[in-house]
Amino acid sequence: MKKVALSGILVSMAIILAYVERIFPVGLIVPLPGIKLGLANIITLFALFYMDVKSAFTINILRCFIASMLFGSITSFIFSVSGAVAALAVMALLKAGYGRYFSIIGISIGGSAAHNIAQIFMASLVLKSTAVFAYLTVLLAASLATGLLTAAVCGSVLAHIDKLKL
Amino acid sequence: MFFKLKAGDIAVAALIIAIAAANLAIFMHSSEGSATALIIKNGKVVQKLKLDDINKRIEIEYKDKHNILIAAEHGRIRFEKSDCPDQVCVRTGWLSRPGQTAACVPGGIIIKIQGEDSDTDIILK
Repeated sequence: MKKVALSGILVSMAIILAYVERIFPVGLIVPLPGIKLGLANIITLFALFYMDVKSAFTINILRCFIASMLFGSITSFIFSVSGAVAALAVMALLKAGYGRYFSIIGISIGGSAAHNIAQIFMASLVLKSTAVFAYLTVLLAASLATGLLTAAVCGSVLAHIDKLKL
Repeated sequence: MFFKLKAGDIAVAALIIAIAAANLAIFMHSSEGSATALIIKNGKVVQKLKLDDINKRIEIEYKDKHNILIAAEHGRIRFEKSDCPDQVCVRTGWLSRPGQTAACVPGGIIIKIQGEDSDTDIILK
């Protein structure tokens, strides 16, 4: 039961983060096409570390579904799910080597890059044109920064929770 | 403990940078090689030129209602000379990028640059 409650809290937090990102799009400050902070990825990363892959997956799908229903469309759902699933898949894979080969930073930037690659693939499928790959280089460069930000936030939270011994 | 950098982190970052660089290289290459010039006379394509495959200057003459000379060089093409009255085609100048068009209406000839992909480059919502 505790898991269900925690999942619910995390889903709602992810939706709020998606909303915050909608009101303050980072694209206004850094005008690059398609750039996003990916704040909701903080929740995915947290769930992956604090809970397990299965919970992280459920939370991920739910938050994409609800966020798209609230502020998006079918298209945005397809895009966000493909990005979120790819990001989680890569992060879960890298997490297996956590502590030995990777820190939370590598896991986070890996997920962030996977998110962008998956979305560009989806976009090229939808538009039936490879022209969208022109954006990938910039997005990947940005994913290094956003992945680092996600890792910093998530790592700090996890460190605090460790101290609290929840 | 969460932030202690490991070798794998560097490897992940390096891989991302490598993919980004490869993508940039592929994309620059493909968009360079994609421009094809179509010469359209009275609504029919009479000549197709891959602009990047041109090494020596090519001159094509059309003698019909008007004498028109089209010149193509590596990566670009233009109406060089025309004895038509308005000279709009000549003044349009060099064409090199997909989507660019020059037309000689009195002579009935259009030069159009086509990309590899369809007319739509990208749609952003």
